[in-house]
Amino acid sequence: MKQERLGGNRFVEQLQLSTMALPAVILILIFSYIPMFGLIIAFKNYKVNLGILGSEFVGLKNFMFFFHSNDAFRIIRNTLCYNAVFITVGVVFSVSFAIMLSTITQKKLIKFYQSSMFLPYFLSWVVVAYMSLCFFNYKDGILNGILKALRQNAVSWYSEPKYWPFILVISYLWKTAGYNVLIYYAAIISIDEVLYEAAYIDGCTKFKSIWHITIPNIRPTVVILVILSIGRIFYADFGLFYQLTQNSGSLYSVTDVVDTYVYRTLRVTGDVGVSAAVGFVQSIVGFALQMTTNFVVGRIDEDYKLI
Amino acid sequence: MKRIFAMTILLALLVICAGCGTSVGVGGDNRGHVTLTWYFGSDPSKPNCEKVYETANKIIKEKINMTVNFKSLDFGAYEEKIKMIIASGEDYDICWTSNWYNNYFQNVSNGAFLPLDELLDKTPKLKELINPNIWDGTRVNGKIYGVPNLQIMARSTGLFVPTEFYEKYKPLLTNVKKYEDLEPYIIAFSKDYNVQPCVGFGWQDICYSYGIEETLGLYIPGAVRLDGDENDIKVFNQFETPEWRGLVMTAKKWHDAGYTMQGLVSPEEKNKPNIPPIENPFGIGTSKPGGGEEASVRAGYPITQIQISDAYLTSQGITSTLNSISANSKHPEEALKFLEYVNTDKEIINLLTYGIEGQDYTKIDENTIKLPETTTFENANWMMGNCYNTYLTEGKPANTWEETKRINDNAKRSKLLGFSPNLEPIKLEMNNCKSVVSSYIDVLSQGVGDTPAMLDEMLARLKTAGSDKIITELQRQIDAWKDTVKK
Amino acid sequence: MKKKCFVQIFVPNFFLLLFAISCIVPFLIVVSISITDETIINQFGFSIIPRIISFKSYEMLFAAPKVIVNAYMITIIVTVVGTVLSMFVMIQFAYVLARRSYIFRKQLSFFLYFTMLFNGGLVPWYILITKYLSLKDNLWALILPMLVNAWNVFLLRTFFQGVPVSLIEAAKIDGASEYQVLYKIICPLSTGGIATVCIFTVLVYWNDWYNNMLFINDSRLYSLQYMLYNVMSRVQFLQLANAAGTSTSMQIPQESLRMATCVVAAGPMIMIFPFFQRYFVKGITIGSVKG
Repeated sequence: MKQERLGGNRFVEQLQLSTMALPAVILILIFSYIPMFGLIIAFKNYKVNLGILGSEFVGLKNFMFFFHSNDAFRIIRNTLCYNAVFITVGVVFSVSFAIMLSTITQKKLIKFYQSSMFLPYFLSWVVVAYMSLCFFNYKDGILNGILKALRQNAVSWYSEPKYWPFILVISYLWKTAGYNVLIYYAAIISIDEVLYEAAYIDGCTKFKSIWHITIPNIRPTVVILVILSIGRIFYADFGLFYQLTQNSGSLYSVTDVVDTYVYRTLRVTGDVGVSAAVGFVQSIVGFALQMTTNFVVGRIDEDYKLI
Repeated sequence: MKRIFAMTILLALLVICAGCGTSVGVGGDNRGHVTLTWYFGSDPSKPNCEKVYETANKIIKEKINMTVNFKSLDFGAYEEKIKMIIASGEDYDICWTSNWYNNYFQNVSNGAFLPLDELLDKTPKLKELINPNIWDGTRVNGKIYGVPNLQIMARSTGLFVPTEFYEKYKPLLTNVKKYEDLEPYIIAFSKDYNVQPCVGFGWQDICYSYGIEETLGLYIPGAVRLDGDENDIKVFNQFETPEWRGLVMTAKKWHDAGYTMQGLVSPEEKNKPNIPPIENPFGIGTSKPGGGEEASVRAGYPITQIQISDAYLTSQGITSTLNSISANSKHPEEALKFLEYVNTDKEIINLLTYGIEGQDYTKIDENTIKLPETTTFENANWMMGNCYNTYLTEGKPANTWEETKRINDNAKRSKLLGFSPNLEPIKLEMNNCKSVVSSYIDVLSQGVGDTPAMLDEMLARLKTAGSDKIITELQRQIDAWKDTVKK
Repeated sequence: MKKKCFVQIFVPNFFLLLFAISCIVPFLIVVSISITDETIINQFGFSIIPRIISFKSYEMLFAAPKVIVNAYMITIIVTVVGTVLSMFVMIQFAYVLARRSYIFRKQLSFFLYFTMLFNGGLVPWYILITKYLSLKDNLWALILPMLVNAWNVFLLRTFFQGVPVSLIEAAKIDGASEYQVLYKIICPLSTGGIATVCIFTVLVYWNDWYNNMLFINDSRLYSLQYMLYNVMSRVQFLQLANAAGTSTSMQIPQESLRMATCVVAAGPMIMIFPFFQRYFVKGITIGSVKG
């Protein structure tokens, strides 16, 4: 008797859950899956007057364009390396700041730190790029002003590649850390206070309780964010690499990434097919790497798996 | 709280619906005759747009029995918007295009535009308005794909010097023919004012003073000599020429001697508005009638223009502004008829450029007008059509358009006029080379660093990027084209 | 109660303060440039404290107040409607994905996940929205495509998974429906997570200029961010136009005007942030008891 009732409930439960998911499923289907038919552009020599279906099929020619490019190696290296650094440094930086923030008890201070950290996130890269001119301009930039005051030679920031890996990483952290700190902080404050109380009674130091309670508890959030970012490892933030560097040609050796390359190619050749092909490669690489990470993570703990 | 939320949503939905309602109303038109859609760049947020286009449509309907849906897109977003519109195969009839924004040659090669040669026979007035040399400049694979808007089409190098310095250093400036000739001036200038200004040679404009024409666009190897025998066309890599070496070595010399800025300014810094005269001893650009006056308005202080090279009619100059008809247009004949009307009628072009007299501008004399400080309606005359028919804004010489026409008609014809390269086989190499040159151009043009070594490095990298393949292929195409022309 | 040593208070505060200042200063520069006299900028370059204050750029910006007010209205409508709908759709979906007993959980997760990596590219997407859904010059084009953000759904799911399963089971035994479980139990327990995703969603809608640029031609439906983009991109256009030998009487927007536009476009978000913030400030009740 009881079994039966549960079975009926189970059906109702599944039905309710399905209806709850329905709006999202429909939206995803329309706005994400239907346009995927357009991926065939990547295999075509797209001509407007012939349409997507009528254009000539060229196989992998559009893909070859990217890989035969002189700069392919440099671009792939830059994209992967920057993203790897962004992910690792980003996690360490944001988690430590989130933890530091969680040790603050004065509410006014928390509010102040949180709002100020989040400020850069409000600004678009265009604006940030513009602001950075105040610092890096050759003539009236603040940094060169300081150098001159120290009787050093002024630096032409926009033509010296050696500084840019650092500038890019710092700018990236500066702009996005607020966002990630917020997520980790939200995860930390949802940890049950009782755990800390118990640890304190057991004689744990603050440092130890961070190590033994905070970190394990936010690990799922960290893992999921890392897996998600690994999926985008072949994508680069266009605004960061294009706008912040003022698209300065002298810096290409350290600032050229997949997205800026596609953008410039599109300007020179106007070829939609090539950009579609590169987008496809980006997806495949991301997919492969993410699946691998997901699998590895799943071997360690089933709970951390993304899917 | 919940109730407030619900109310907000309801309210918002209502507003959205209202918004849709009005936006549909804009497109409404009378049926029975043809309505064309024309995309061009402008500032659609000017308050009088609707009024002006309404008036224009009344006139157009009366004169040629059509109406036009004027779709003005913001200047700054025009390229991204129109590229999407074109690529998606959206229904439109006419769009503005050029070789520097919404690229004409790319659009033609992507199959976006309709060839006009046959249709042009039905619009004789338009065909005759534009001189055959100019028509030739728009040809791609022998066919015309756009109606060029008449303005300054001949290209010549212009030197733009703040008038106060021009007066002061006149003897040093009158005989300048090349970049190197500016040396006495820059020496005197930097000494007298004790400054190290930021100057550059502006390769795309100064090349005319060396008689070199770039054929594939800025920073892509592949150039020909402008002068010399009509039938002897030799393609070469402009960056391997002694002229180019001379230019960068001059920049280097000035830098090392301390006449010019010691570091490299950012692109933004170089182009920022309102550079004071003291930091702007000279600029290099395209010389044209009224150019000095225009530059003065932009800079905020008087600037004198000096033409330092002959004027040449090149494909690059001609395709700097055109209107093309969509390959998918349902009314191509009417569209071209309309373009003929806009290009030959004085009333309509001025209405579409400056708006309604008395409301958007005031007339000073027959051909000169005064615009208010903040305009209530304004389009760019060179986007709308034939500039020769448009009024002059206050301060420009009265004979601006006559002069322009004279220069266009008398300019030396580029040997390549009528030829258009097929870029398909060299796309990859072009892209590679452009990125190589872009990496060096700033440093080289400012003379920062070890110029000779960097120049050699650049040339070596250009070789690996495929510059030779571009040159060979271009030469082959030109020879083939010459053969067909001869026959 | 707990005693904290000096180091424990000093170290985090020191670093946080340093970071906070580095975030605020550039913002102050933007505000300062926007109220600096243009001639001073040309003469002395940028500085944090304006030498001569001038509100001319704001006067210029608000010369046609109707335009700005209208853009604000559009942005606010899109943001409010978009965020409310988006949170509604995403919370439900995330909850479903967080429920271990749901039979299609794995499939739907993959269905969502796949969209994070693969998309059809810009052109087909544009064709879909303008041609098949005919949403050109329609505000729904700014709202609908961004309703479901896979990243945010996964974030919400992670937060929801933090709620002990026993609570859900207990509620189910008491006869609660799935809706009741979600809105009565899960949501109140995940306010931090929901507030986080909510502020991200608000920001996405508030900062979106790209969809506005693609789908809106009617200047009455321009959003704030698109106007900002316009001011910035016009500069590039004018430089290209001058280089091409064509000319306009249009002036390059002055630096102070550009910055003023930034302030106007980003400003209101900074006012909104504290509203969400109370959900992030730790232990409103617990903290007050503990003192």
